[in-house]
Amino acid sequence: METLMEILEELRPDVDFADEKSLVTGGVLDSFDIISLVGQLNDEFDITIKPANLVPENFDSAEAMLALIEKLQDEE
Amino acid sequence: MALTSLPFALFTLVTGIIYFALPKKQYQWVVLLIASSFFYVYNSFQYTAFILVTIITIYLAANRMAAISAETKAEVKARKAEWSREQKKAFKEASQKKKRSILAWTLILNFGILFLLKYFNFLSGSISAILGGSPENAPHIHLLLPLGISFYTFIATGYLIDVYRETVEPEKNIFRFALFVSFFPQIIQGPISQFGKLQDQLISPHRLEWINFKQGIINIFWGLFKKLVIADCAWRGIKMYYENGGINGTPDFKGYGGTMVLFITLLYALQLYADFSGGIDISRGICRILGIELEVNFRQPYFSRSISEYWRRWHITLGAWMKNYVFYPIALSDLSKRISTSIARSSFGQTAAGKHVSKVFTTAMASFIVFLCIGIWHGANSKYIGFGVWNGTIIMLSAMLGPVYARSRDALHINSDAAWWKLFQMFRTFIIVLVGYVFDIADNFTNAIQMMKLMITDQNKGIFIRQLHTLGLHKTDYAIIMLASMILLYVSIRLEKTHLDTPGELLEKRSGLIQWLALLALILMVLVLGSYGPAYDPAEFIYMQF
Repeated sequence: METLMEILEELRPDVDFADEKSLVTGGVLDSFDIISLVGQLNDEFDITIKPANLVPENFDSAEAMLALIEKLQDEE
Repeated sequence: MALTSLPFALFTLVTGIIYFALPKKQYQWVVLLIASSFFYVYNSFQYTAFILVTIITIYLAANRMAAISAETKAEVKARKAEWSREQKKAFKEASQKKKRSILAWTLILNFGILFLLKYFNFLSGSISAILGGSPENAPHIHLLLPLGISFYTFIATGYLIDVYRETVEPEKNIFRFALFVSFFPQIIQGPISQFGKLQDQLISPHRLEWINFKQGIINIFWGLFKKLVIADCAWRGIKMYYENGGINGTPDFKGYGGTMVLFITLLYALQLYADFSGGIDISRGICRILGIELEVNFRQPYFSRSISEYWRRWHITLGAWMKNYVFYPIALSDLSKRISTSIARSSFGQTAAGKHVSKVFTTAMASFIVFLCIGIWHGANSKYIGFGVWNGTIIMLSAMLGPVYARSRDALHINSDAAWWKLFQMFRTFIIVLVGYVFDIADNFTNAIQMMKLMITDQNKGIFIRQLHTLGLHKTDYAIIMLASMILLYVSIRLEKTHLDTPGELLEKRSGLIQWLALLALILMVLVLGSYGPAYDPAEFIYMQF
């Protein structure tokens, strides 16, 4: 979780990722942020996030992102 | 049968009565299917085969892909003990390949039909309707194409890709799937619904509820107000301008000066928004009464502070489709990764600017391609390429130069939350949008550039005022457009401030009396001020009714 939070805070220092629960549905992160985030998550956690994973439910909160990362790590 | 026509109102009313009167509510969806089929055949009889091809091919392909996935999972499970990790992986990849080939061929077939019809239509010269068309139809409908082909192709292929990605289960019942693709309130001009959000609503039973009825009626009349009072009146002026030869590329635009060209562009911005979003309001209103919530397609787009925000608020479901099925796959492709890596490894990539560019370049390119697609999708004309390139370039540049903008803003001590700055951003975005509209209005790319040049170099208020009458609109028409636009602006500001979606939701907080008075005023405005064709006389209409 710590690594994820570091990546998120570096990406958008203006956002409170600990509390925000509607990052995508609330329009906080746009598609450019998502693509840049996906690249970093793929590198950092050695996973492959596919277009099919890019649904709001997977990126609305830091917890949701962590759950996605863990799921993809299990599948690898 | 246009959305604002009396036959359509009667058709919807009869459908609604049967839908709610049906004793066995589990068959309500059959009523919708019969109504949608009737609507389609009635309006586009000679082209029914095309939508049937889409329904059948996508239904079969989706179910075949789902069957392959299920068989693969079962096989891998059965051979869990005997297969190595590599064997399982190879087996999964082989079945994925089969699915991908089914997906690709089905997409090629369906988009092939769409493109062939669109470009054939254009080449045969009939696509002049892009700029003309009759006021009762949405600006993006081409009369000689199968009804709603762009919309149902996008709706159906989006579903197919979702099944391929295993984010939705395929529809097993072909008739229910046919309803999803041909659902009458959305087939004319969208929204482009997602299967996961719509299908359950379409097939589940619904009872008539007062709140849905009230909200639906308000939305329908709000849509009629936008279409009949604002859009159709504005369209009469724009059409007359075309007929007078104001756009046909003569050097002096038939004596119309730059002020008039600017005025027509502004009128077009108003007409396009009122017409398109008004049509969506009518569709959403009808669905709300039926107990079905269609997706929001417009969120006060002209209040956007950047062009990318504008595209998230204008025709939202098309933007979402493009994002999910074009932008993400390109931005996440191996090629994009390779380009980013090679920029990052170059000597330029070591600099601060280079690091930023290596991060956003492929994303920016992907969005440029999306806008090029949107441009080409509008038609085979240089001006639409211009439209796509214009929007794509602005978005690409703003992504690449993001840090430069931020630094300049800091250097100038501009508070990005200040009201004046927000207003400036809205104004700036609106100008960029207007430039895009000039491409839409013009005959071709060269003509669009001429128009823009004229707007800058030839401003003359005197000539403009003297020429206003040539648009065929009377003083009362201009007064109506002004008044109605003020109402539209007021409601839009209220919606923006309250984060609500419809005027009905705004009224919900007011007393019953105010709600009734507002609805009554809306209905009266539609009846008295609406444009009902040249032979229409509002006084006579009201007289006949009473």
